[in-house]
Amino acid sequence: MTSSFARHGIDHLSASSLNLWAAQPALWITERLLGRRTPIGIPAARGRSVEHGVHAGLINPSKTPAECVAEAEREFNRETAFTGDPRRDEERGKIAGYVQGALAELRKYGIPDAYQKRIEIKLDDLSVPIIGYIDWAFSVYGLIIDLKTTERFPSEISNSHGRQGAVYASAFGNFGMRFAYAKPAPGKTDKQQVKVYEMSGDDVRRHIGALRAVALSLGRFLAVSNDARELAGLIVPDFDSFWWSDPSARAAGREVFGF
Amino acid sequence: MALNIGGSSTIRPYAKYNAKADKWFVRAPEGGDKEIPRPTFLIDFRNIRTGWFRFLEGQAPERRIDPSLDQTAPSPGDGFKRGFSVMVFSQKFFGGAVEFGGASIHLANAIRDVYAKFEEEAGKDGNRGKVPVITCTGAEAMKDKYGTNYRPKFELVKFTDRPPEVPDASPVDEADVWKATGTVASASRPSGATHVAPPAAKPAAADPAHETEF
Repeated sequence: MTSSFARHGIDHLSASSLNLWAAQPALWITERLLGRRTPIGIPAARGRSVEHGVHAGLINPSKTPAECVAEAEREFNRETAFTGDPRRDEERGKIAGYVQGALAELRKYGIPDAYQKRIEIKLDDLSVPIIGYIDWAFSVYGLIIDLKTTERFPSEISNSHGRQGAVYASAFGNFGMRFAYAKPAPGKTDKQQVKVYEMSGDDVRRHIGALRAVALSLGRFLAVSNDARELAGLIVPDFDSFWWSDPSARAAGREVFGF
Repeated sequence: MALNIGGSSTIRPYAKYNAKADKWFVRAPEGGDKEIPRPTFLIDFRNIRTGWFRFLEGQAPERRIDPSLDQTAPSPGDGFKRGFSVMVFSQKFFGGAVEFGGASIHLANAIRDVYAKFEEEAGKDGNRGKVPVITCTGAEAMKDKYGTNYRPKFELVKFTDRPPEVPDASPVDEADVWKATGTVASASRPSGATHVAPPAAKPAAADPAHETEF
């Protein structure tokens, strides 16, 4: 029997896809089922660009922070070339701080031996695998590190990040999973610019359990109909949510949901 | 008697709402409570903490703070009620930044609802990184088995820049935050909440010929 995922042409899932389904099902349908992908947002472009610059510095210890910043800024310009988001200039100005701060912290781990490595795990009762791409692995320490850019430190690893990290950690066996949260500048009081949090084994198991539950719910939803438009008719979007703040996302939502 | 809400040894300035009488109070500079009108104030929702609170006559309040908003600490025992603690600011009504908290179910429900509104609005353009200002517009009489109590009505007025008087920090003492111990508790502990330092540098690999085999 064909699975509901296969009937919709879905041959894999990811933590980010399942996080989107959990947070904003209407946007998941718009993007993942109806193919109305919205352009990369400024925060996501910032994250990718900073990661690009930091990676340049990690794999080449002789590269100066200024050179890494320049690479990150070039990447940011490229990623956001077609965006009309007014936050673009403001965010570009912060990239240097993010890169310098993250690089100073992550260079202490040495040179990573894996970057953007594709990983895949299978969960019980789920017909499609969950895939992901790790930021960096430091096999000498048995650690995977994922970089997150942020305006303020979270008090803990969020559920969405935790699910992502749980996939990485599960794929890498007994590796530890750490998230490095980098701010554009040191805090005024604590002077910290980067905080690194590590997931426990219990965290990983808990998030994998949640991920499986989310994926199974998605599978059940997709089983309702083979018609993506009909499925869209079962969901009501919350256009006040920040998920829809991009004008092109809003326009796609209007077209799909009719208001 | 002054209410020692904030720390274990010092009395922090505070504001409080008496749900039994629908009255607002602020700690007076000379000590004791001073009644104030329904206030409009900035509230640091980003750092609000929840937990278990017990207020006993003639004793300093006891509290066990949840590790995070989505993880509830176990109840310490009889007399403890769910409540919250948050920093609020109004020069006009409170004389500056003060701690605001309580364990009245009606107050907590009112705060929960306006917090949900804050969560909806906080991510919108123009609101990011800013702090909400709310106003108490009235109160609703709630009749239950304990008689009539009042639930304050709050409205989220706007978002504004964080003033220097309200640092972006937790309002509670870390010593009051519940920490899981033992196997069962650690299964539900929050994800890492403390910075993890990089591992110590590994020494260069030794010549295998010099290693002890057993």
